[in-house]
Amino acid sequence: MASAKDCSVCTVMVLMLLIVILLGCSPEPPVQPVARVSVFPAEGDSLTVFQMDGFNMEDFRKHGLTLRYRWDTESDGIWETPFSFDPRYARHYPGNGIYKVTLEIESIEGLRDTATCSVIVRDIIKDSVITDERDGNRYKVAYIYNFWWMSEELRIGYRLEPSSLPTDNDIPEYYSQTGNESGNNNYTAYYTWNELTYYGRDSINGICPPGWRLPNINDFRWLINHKWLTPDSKQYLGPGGLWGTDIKMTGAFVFTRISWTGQGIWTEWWINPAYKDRILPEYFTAKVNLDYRIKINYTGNRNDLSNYYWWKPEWGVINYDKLALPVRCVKKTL
Amino acid sequence: MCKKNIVVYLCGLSILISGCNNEFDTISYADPVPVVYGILTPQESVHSIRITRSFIGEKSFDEMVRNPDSLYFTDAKVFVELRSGDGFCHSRGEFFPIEQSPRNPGLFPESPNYLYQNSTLLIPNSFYENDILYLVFNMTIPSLNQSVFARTTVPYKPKVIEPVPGARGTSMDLYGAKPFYAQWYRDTLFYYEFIIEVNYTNFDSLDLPDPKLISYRHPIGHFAQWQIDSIGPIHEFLLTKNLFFKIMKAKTDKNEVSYRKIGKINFILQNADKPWTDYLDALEFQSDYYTNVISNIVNGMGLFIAYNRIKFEGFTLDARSIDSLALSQETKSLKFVRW
Repeated sequence: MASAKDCSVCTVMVLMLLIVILLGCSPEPPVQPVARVSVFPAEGDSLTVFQMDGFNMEDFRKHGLTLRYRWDTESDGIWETPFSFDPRYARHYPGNGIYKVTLEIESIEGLRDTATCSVIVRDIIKDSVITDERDGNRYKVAYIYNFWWMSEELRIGYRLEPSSLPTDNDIPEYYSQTGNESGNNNYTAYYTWNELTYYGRDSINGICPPGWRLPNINDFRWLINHKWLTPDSKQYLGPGGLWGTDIKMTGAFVFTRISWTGQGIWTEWWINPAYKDRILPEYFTAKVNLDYRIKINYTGNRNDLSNYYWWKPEWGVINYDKLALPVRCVKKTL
Repeated sequence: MCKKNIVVYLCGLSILISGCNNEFDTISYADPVPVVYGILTPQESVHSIRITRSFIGEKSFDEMVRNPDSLYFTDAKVFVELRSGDGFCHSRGEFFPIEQSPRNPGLFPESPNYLYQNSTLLIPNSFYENDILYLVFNMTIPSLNQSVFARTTVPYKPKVIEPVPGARGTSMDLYGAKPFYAQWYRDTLFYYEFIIEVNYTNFDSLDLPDPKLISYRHPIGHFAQWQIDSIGPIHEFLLTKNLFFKIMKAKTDKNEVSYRKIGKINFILQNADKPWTDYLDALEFQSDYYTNVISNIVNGMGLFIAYNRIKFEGFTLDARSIDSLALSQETKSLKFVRW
């Protein structure tokens, strides 16, 4: 009898233990995955293959390699890929446009999340020619992402004799070494800042063709940030280069001293803004040296006289009021 | 009871037998996988990329492998682009299939043997500023409606502190403190390795020379401690006597020779993106770590990488070191001679 009682107590205890174990072990709640998507490059043309990447470290720490990914690269409800363990996908878009890319991820427990990003497809760099309706002059222009840049220096107005001074007469006046007497358009026009901006009355568009404007610091800063960073910049920016910018070393004209300087060694263009600080007016220019590095030059910074190695002592105080420089206009699209 | 059991067993057996289907497809059709191997460097003017594809079909392997259409995409458009860190495209070069000299006889047909090549793409050696520049592989295959992508960082030419780049090689004393010592500024983006090239010549019993080259790869620990000066972190490499003898013992050919003479020794400092190191490590060590095939190709397989290098040439061993190579217990059997 006693043994039968013991046995039933034992059975009850085992059953209770089993119940405790079963109730005590609850599975960990599933962790919701969080989709993130990046695309490289974010912008390209019809030949660009875009890499879409759904990998993110946070999900990797929580889920390891168990997440599955699928892509709808036009967000039209049609999945281009089935669910796969590869977080990356690549495709190109044959037509220009803005495409929304959708990524859906699924955890091993079946939890899903989506993320989207945009891809812009458009022409990136192209060459073209514009005609200035005011005088019929034609200019080569280059399209670099959002901007059209003139690939030649602006040449509008009347040529001044080197010994004459420009006057405020609403007619752009420039200096030039060769001029256009023989119908030759292959010359560079050098303007004073005052001539360029109608004596300060229009420092935004200045004497640029309609729809175009004077470049400002941000335009050049963008170009500098994206410029070719190697000693081979000439291949991209120089005459016949890949960017179509055709930069030539045009130098400057010191009209107060009737002296040409820097031809074949550097080029410098006027850029906005210019203003009067204390006594002397101060200007920003973009300067390109023989190695085709572009640098924004602030003429008020006279601590760095190495910028003005070419300035001759007989010209007096360094002052860009004494200079005539060429200019290249820009036009933003979109 | 017994009859009942037999019926139950028979039923179970019939279910088992009828449930097993031993007919299955031996071929699982799938789109071909592009296979890309492109190892580019600024130091070459013509860049080459090997592009092939996987294949599957009802014909025999031997038959399919002889068909060039099984090996190549006929409509692939291939470009390599230089892009800055934010994706801006600086330049783009198209690669075209150019027929190369025939392959050695084997499984694959001797010809056509295509390499995609380009001679206009300019890969820079150095940058003015510390900006990242990517080399991007970009292929579209219209017939498959498929795009293939790969990206690698363009490596700077290593900035060497010591020895002075271009300096002539010296006679190395393996018993000295620094037989060969190099220091360079290290960019954490890249993985570095030294390649040690040892030229030597085998001579047979008729004194006929047979030049040979040992090429030994010595990866530099990416996470190793390094010094830092005002310009940046410095890494170093020291060739020791032990390392040199270890290389000679392991890498000298096993041919029967009368004697051997050691020649010039060159050192190459090379840097590249991480997948390059992973790929070489996987080839050399077959480590358990590398359970997957190393690939950095999106929508395909293979390796697309750029490397840069600097070479220190013309080093020799001094008399004492050659003596040691010829007579030491460790390397005596290699039959190097002193004269």
